[in-house]
Amino acid sequence: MRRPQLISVVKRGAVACVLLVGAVALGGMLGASGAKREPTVLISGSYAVGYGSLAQLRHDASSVAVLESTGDASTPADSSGVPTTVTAMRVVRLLSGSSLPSTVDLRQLGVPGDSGAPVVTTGSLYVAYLTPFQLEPGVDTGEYTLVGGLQGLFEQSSGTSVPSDSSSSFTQAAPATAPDEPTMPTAISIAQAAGS
Amino acid sequence: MYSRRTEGKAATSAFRTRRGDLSDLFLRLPVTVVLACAVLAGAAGVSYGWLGLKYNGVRCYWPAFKNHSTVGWTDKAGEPAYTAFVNAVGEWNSTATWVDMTGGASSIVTDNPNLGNTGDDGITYYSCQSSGVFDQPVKSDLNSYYTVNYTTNERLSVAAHEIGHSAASLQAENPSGCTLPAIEIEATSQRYGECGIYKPQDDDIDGTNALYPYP
Repeated sequence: MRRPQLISVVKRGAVACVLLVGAVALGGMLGASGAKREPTVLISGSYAVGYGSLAQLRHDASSVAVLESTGDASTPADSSGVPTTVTAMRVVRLLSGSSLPSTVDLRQLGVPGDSGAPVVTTGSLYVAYLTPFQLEPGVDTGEYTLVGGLQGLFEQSSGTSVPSDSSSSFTQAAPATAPDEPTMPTAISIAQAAGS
Repeated sequence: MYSRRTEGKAATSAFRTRRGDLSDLFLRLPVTVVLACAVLAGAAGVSYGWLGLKYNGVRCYWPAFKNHSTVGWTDKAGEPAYTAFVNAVGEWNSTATWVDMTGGASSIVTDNPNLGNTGDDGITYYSCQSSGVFDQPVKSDLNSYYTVNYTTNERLSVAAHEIGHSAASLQAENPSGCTLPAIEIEATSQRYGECGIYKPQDDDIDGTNALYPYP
């Protein structure tokens, strides 16, 4: 094993120890207090494409924009039964790419409250890497979806006002992003999202 | 059959805590974990420990596998997804684990819907009872939008990834490069495209055996 790899492994091991010991201690406290685990709904997916940088996301996006939910969301029923949510999103600001209408319908796999595949909610701003939703290649449906699923969605950490372009206040929504992936930042600014 | 590394066995044994007094357990477990982590940190293959971090305390399980029995599986997909799931189940059944899925019942249901270009070429969705037992059925799908044009082994890679979710609640991870090979690497472009993985690896097996202690 090369030295940088070994150092990386040792660092990960150290972090693993801290997290695991903390989790065990917390588990012990919860057990002692009689807390019960609630039923949990989970979605686990396989990304077709893993994105390693914002530039790659931007390359595959038709538009990059700051969005916020209007609160109008539906869960379309289809024969597959796969949990899906379509949310009407107000376009707060177009950052790059093709122009967008004032409101777009955003399709995501997942439903509100799902810890594995979180969907957009009201009360937050998002930077979204968008592409027209298609069921057949080349045939737009009128809806939009995210490039790379949750990899293409960043949520503002706090507040609902548009931050300054340089503020790194949008964090990636994907719950299982790579902690050692050096080229994909977990927190980005509007300027970074726009590629300026 | 898969070879198993010494460090993997050491890591697994750390999770096989003795039955005994709970207070004694909570005193001893952190020490055991620290020792196990020390082993993992110094070992070449650490993705079991790596993968283990993703369990987040939420791992559903099949009582049948804990009882060394079988879980029923039904496929609703047409070709070519059907063959991919048949082969994926076969790959998992052949591992040195208690995972053993048989046809006919519907605890696990596989299908092949068109979910469009939503970014996911495969998806598994499920819920746990408060006891941690899987609610039935667990659904594992290939998204035909992407997978209809995949090669046979690329499609198998996605199917085996999803079966890892539905059989053992294995969670996805996205390590850099291919130094931590696992069928649970979350992106097909990396798992198969870069690493050529289309069946369970040692770390997937170790993660499964942490849930269903084997042998």
